[in-house]
Amino acid sequence: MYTAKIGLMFSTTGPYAALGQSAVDGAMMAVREINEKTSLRLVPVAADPKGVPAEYERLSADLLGGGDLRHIVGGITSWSRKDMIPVLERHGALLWYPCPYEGFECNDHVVYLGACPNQHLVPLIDHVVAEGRKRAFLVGSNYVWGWETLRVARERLTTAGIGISGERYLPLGDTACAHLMDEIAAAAPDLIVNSLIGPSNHAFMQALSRLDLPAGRPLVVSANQTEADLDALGPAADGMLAIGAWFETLAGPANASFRDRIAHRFGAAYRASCNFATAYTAVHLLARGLARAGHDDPRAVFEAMAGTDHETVLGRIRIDPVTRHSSLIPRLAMVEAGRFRILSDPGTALAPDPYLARAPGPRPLRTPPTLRIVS
Amino acid sequence: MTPPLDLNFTGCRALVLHPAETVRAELIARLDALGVAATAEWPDSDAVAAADFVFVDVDMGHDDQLPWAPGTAPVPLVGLIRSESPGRIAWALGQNCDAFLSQTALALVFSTLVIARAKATERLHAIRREAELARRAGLRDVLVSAVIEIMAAEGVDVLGALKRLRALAMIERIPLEDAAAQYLGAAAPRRTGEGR
Repeated sequence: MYTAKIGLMFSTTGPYAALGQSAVDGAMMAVREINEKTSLRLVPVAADPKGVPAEYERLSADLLGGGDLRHIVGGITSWSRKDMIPVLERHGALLWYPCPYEGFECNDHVVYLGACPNQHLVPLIDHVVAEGRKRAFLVGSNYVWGWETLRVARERLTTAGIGISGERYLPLGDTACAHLMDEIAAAAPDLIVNSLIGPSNHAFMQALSRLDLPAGRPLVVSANQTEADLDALGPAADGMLAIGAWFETLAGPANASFRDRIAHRFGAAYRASCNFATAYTAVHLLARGLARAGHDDPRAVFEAMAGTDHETVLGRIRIDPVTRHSSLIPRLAMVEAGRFRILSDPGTALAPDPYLARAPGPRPLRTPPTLRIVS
Repeated sequence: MTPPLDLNFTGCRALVLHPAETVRAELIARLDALGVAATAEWPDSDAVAAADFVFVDVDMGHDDQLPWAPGTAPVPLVGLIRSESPGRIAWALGQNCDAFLSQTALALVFSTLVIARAKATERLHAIRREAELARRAGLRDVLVSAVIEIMAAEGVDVLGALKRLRALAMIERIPLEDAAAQYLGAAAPRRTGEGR
């Protein structure tokens, strides 16, 4: 039996604790399955940075400093990932990052298992462009996720001929959004792209649900909503269009079995999320790499696992050996009565394109010419 | 106004001049992920004329590898840094490298392309602007001759003659010196083009 220590670096307290707890639950469920069913024995070492950026750096140095732990599954925000990278580089360690992020990064010490923009924002925006929306309002959290996702949204919407009536950012954790409601009421957009996270997202959606707009509520789209958010949002989330690599309500026997195992472990009322499923997948892929390599050298583990197909709860995916990102299946879902109703599930995974080098440009809106018979 | 950054390099061609196979292979793979078709050779290559970006090893690079006068690369030039020998850094600066990429950080090639393209655009624009100013400075005698001729022909003073020339320049959308040459019927030296 081969034993390997792995770090689990998730904030289970602090401003985005719900997301971190969901990821820890997924990772721990995978650890238990591996320890029960394979000859590999994983020893998880948990660390809680409490959502404080500097703590990610300090705690990853603590985890890696002993020399007997070289893999960390963790990080929720891009900020946390970027804070851990210098420590990972110094120790030659590997981070298995399980969250969707804004792309434009390919670090040799990270495996990117969450979606990048060609797998989340681009298909989401293309979907609403095809619906013929006219005017968009963009709102996001004031850090790199918000800035970059809204930059991609703005460029893609503008190219498609959709006007941008406003673009606003809230500091992380800020819940004061009355001024945003005033702007939205004045601008009357028919589309809102929401890249707010945590309490800001919840406050914004609650305020928006109370806003009385003559033309009705604009369609809200988001690439960062999970079941953990739905619990906090309640009916305020209804009608929101989300995109994700996994939703609890996905059809198929593999997901039914996964849901049963989750219910068996955490209880029938437990809500798993994309973070749960991706952290669960991360631990399983790490375990496959460890088993194939026979030791925990990060380069060997990565090479043993990358470049081949893996059947996972996210579907059949493959880690690209060059960009180190995963192919993923982008699923569109509409929130209805506190659940994600799947609108589309392409079935096959979309290759990662973290620099949007290969994503086809948006189709400009074509207005049919008005023809007039003249004599 | 700051021009928008070029963030998409799909369809571009890059040439990597580097002796180490591992660096060449890794850079080619990373550039391919960005949609850039790269070839790598050492010490020199015919592909340099068709490249949109040229990467050159700063440690071993030399002027004869690059078919342009030092410092005047017609495309974005990226220095690949390994050791930090002052003499080699001086060589790379003499070549006016538009960006540098550490060979221990090849994963950062995207930002290097963005910076190199932006800085090269700025550098080439400055070169064209300087050439145009030099050309116009060389036409001062033509300008003086045209002013004297207009003063004699139309009975106006210096300011009146200049006003006449400015009007001609504005209508024709050409510099004042070219308007002067046109007035005299003389062929001014050709203006520098905007393309490569």
